[in-house]
Amino acid sequence: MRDWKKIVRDLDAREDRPWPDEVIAELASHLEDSYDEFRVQGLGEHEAAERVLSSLPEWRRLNHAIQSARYTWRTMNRRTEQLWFPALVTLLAANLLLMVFARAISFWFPNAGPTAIYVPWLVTQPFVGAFGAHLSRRAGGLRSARVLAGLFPSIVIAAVGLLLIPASVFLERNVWAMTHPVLLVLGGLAWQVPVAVALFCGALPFLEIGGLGANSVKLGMNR
Amino acid sequence: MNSRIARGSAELAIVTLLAKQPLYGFEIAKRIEEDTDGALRFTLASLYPMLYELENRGWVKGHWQPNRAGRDRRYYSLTPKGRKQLAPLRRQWRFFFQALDRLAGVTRA
Repeated sequence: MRDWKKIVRDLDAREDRPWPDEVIAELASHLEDSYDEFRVQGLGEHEAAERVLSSLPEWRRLNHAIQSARYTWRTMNRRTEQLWFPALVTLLAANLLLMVFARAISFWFPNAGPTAIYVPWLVTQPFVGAFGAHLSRRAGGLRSARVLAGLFPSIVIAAVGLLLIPASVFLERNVWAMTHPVLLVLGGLAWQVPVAVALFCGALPFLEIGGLGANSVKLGMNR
Repeated sequence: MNSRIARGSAELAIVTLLAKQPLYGFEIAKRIEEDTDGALRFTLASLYPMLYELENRGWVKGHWQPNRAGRDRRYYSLTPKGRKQLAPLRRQWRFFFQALDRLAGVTRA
């Protein structure tokens, strides 16, 4: 006989905010009843258990939905908590770090060029991307929300660049930029793409690609 | 279906069922599916967050007791506050369906 309570507890133990025993017992009893129902319908023990396990939702989302429903202190709606808050934290962190590096390096090395600020700042970006994706995942965000939260500084920088650079080129009547638009775009990309890659690399462990996704959780339980 | 409509209809379904008798989660899901010929179906992921939210609002109250098979199950019963919601919820849905019917002629289709 399957220990449904243990199955639920093991699944939930992976989460940042596990449920109290009462919730685990209740969900386990639901799975047990589902199993009995399949047995009554004529399925064998193994097949019935498989059907129950394959019907399980993505656990992180369920965990988060139940946490949201049980506690009233939450003031942010789900989209804010899963996407906008982590995204803004990531953007703020990236900008603060840039400001710190810019001030420190221009203070200690007054003759240093922008690369001397850019490179050390770039090294910190995987941590920023990781933090954003972690916050989104902890709030139950889907993979797409985690990617967006992690990459948000890069998206904002790209958007601002797309608006401001052409505008300033025309306003300042920069002849070189007007006559070399391809080089301008390539130059922008050369600065932008490494940032996006660094942020994404940091977010990667929190995307659970081929790792702790819903399917692998189920397979893990079947062993 | 729009998630807000689905959510509202789920609230009404649960409150209506619990107004008749206390039931536990699996029974609620099964009863709703049977009574609506499968048109409304709850999963683990949709049922329990909804039940806990209703409990948090004070509309339902859960308590453990053995079921017919002697297994402990968390039964939900409607509180007086929840019972008061039943009539307004029904009114809202009647209004909604009448409006939709006037617009789309659903019952005449």
